[in-house]
Amino acid sequence: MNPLSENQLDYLLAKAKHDQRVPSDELFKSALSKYQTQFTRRPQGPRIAFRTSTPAVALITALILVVGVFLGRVSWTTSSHSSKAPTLTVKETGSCASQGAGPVMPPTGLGFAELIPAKEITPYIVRGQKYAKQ
Amino acid sequence: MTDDRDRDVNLLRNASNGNEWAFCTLFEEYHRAMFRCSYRLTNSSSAADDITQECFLQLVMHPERFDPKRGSLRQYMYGMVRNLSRQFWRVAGREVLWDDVLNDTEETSISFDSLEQEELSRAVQCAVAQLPPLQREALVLVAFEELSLQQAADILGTDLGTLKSRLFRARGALRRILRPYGEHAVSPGQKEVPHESFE
Repeated sequence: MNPLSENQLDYLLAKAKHDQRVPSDELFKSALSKYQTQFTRRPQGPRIAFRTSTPAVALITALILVVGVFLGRVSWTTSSHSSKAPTLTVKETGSCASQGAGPVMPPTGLGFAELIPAKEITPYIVRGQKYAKQ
Repeated sequence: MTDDRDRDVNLLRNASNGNEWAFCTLFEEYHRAMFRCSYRLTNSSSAADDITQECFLQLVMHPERFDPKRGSLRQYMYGMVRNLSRQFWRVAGREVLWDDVLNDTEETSISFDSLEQEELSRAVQCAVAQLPPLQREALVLVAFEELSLQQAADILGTDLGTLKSRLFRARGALRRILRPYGEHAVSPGQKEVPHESFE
């Protein structure tokens, strides 16, 4: 049996070309659903997540502030050479030294206090001074 | 042409920014062609559905990958369909001889006693599915999707000579596979169908 001629093959290909399958009805729905999941609903995600985690964010922020104050109290008493306390302006009035706590190693690496601007930490430092005086 | 590309770029940008209307417009315009192409490449309707869907999702997820200077969105999407079809074959675990010479299929499993149009089309599709993938890609893009040789070469990332060679081998293989259909291949009063020589 001889192979088809070029014309015969073209005829068959043309016939096959007219028989064009159509995608299933579900294709559009499925694609649109996935698109909506990944795109049109995406902007709402962060807002929802933020709302649900607001208490956690507040708690962490408060914790950072408390730890920052605490580290500030420790650092200002122990290390006179601790130059890393530009924001802790009440260094010489620390409480640990007056209470005889002895030398305490300065905090290393944590640096929470350094991250907090002086303006923001001032109230806590003032409160710390009160404790020191007591 | 440039207007079409600008329009496609705008639609793509809007779709990737969450504009549902833009996504639907793009989908409506191109999904049939992408489905057809992926069906021809995979010979599976369900796989073609998956590939078409994945093609659109990847398109809007990574709009920056489309460079309108290098070609139209349609061409770019054909390239995506081609890559996804290759992934399909890899995942399916089929052993693929990408550009191997097809064995002489003397005994084909296709039956065609009373060939209707649909059966004939199915037979051709089965024959196309038997081609090595590289030849099949070339044939599908040029013969079925009616892209120019240069456009197909760009999509396939090859040069014109290689593409023509693949087309020539693909057509030769199809002529052998489909030879049992010879008597059905000429309609009454058929004109001579002009064809392009790929040699």
